[in-house]
Amino acid sequence: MEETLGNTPSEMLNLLVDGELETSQEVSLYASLTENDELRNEMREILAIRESIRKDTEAFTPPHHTRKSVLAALGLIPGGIVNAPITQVAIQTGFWSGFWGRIIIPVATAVVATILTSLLFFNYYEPVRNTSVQAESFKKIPVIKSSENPVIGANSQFTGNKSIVSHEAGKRNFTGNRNISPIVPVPDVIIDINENGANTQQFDIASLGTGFYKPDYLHYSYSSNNVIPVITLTPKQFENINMIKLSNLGITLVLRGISARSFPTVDLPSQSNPLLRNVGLAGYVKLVNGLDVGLEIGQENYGLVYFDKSMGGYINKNPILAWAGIGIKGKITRPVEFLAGAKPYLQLFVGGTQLGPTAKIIGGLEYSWDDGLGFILGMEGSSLFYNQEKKWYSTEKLGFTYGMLYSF
Amino acid sequence: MDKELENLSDAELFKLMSAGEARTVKAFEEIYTRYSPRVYAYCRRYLGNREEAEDVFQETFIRFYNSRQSIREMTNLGAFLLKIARNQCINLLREIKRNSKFDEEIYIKHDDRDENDELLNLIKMAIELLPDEYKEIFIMREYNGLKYNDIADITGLSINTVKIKIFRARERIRHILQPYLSEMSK
Repeated sequence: MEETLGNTPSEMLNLLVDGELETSQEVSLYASLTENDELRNEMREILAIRESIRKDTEAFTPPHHTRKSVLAALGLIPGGIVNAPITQVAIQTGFWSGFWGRIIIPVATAVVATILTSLLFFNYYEPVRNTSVQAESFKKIPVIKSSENPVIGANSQFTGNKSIVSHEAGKRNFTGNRNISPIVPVPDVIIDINENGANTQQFDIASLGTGFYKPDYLHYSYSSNNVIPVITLTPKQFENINMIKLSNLGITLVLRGISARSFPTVDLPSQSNPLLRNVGLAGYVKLVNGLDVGLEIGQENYGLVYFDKSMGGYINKNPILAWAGIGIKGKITRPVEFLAGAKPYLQLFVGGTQLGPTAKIIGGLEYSWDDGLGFILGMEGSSLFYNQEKKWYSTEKLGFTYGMLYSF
Repeated sequence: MDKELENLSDAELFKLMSAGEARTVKAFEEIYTRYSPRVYAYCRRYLGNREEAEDVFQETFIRFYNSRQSIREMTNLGAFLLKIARNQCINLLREIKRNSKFDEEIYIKHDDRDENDELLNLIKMAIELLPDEYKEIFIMREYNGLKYNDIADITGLSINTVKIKIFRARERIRHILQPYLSEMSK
């Protein structure tokens, strides 16, 4: 049965000082107070405590800066966020508050990276069916043209001045000359015919010049894409380029940004991950096909929460820590068609920071070719282990990584 | 401060703040002026630690402001603010306890002693020694001046339980302060 209050004089006294005593009980209590010294003493003590509490000005006076801090954190004073204090308080400023505010940068970056990659992919390179007898794989080849005297391969078998490109189940097959010589002459006209065999378009490529150059490890394909970029090179320049490409050292340099959130979350302003403060630079060497090893260095914010005896409480920090270590990266070397030619990859990293060891796992997509510029976009999870006053703590991070790479 | 706003009721201020008009900030500032002492006192005495109290105090007002659109009518602004503050305090204490492997006495701090008021210092210490269930209700009553039904509303307890806890809290505090109080009454 629930205990009730208000039966004894002492209980009634408490109700009286709180203004909660029923009128019907007041007479009884006043009578007790008249007769009972101890009860009067108790009343004096309760009122003395209350009086002292009213003098507790320290408790009733919020620090002056808190008003400004609150308004700044809410974005209600101009430029306030700059002056907002670094506290445990979540810094929320209008649009940038909450979940969406925290992911907007990585999402926007991902969208921009995807658009740029797609533009590069579909405008500068075109997937074509390899017409060589060597393989039935897709390749993406640049079309390079000389502005100087064309060099016609001695073993060129091209004799006509017309080539035909036909649509077949949405794919383009080169049905004309299947020349696989290193250098091929350009036809005057390419006629584009649809599935029914009717001519639909005729491309006059005479304006493109009189010769195409390509290395023999690439396979030339005609394209109906009117916006094939044509890079004007002298034969010597062309050879130089191909010499670089043929070097095929299997070295990849990666510059990437990291936008991730720490757990435990410290909710400091620096948790918002300014782009240029969270970066990594890596160099990888091909170990075997599809497997690279290398070194990576970088710097990153890590949210730290640990107990500090001298402060008598928990400390929240979000320092930038430099890290370095070794990584191993496995990827599917062939572009995956339904991923718009991207190559999925998985990367493991172990290393150290000033505070302690760290490990990372990254999975994502790489838009790249054997040589040259490429892009990466992925998810990254990492752990940092650190020791404070002989006690180990860990911080986990989860977020996005995005950047560019260059392969030699 | 806007004199006109000073004369508005809590409900009217809240409505003005929620309307999203030009005077939103002024209305919020007036609410802050009215309630910040009580909210801070609750956080300060309940948590004991100044930095933690400041953090929770600020977060209380931030959450209050951000919740303005989701509340149709505000009937008891003071209780609403204290409810937010209480939730934040409980979350923080829970987090501290979960992460703590240290002795309990580390959390008893006396970083704001008032040298001029010995009784007040003893009361602060006595409040820190109260179990949490008594402490928060005692603070709501003595520092925030809340009625029993408001305390019951904030804590989710019955009014009778609130009465009993306040009574028990006072008994404990008087018991801790007994040597001093006895001396004082002589």
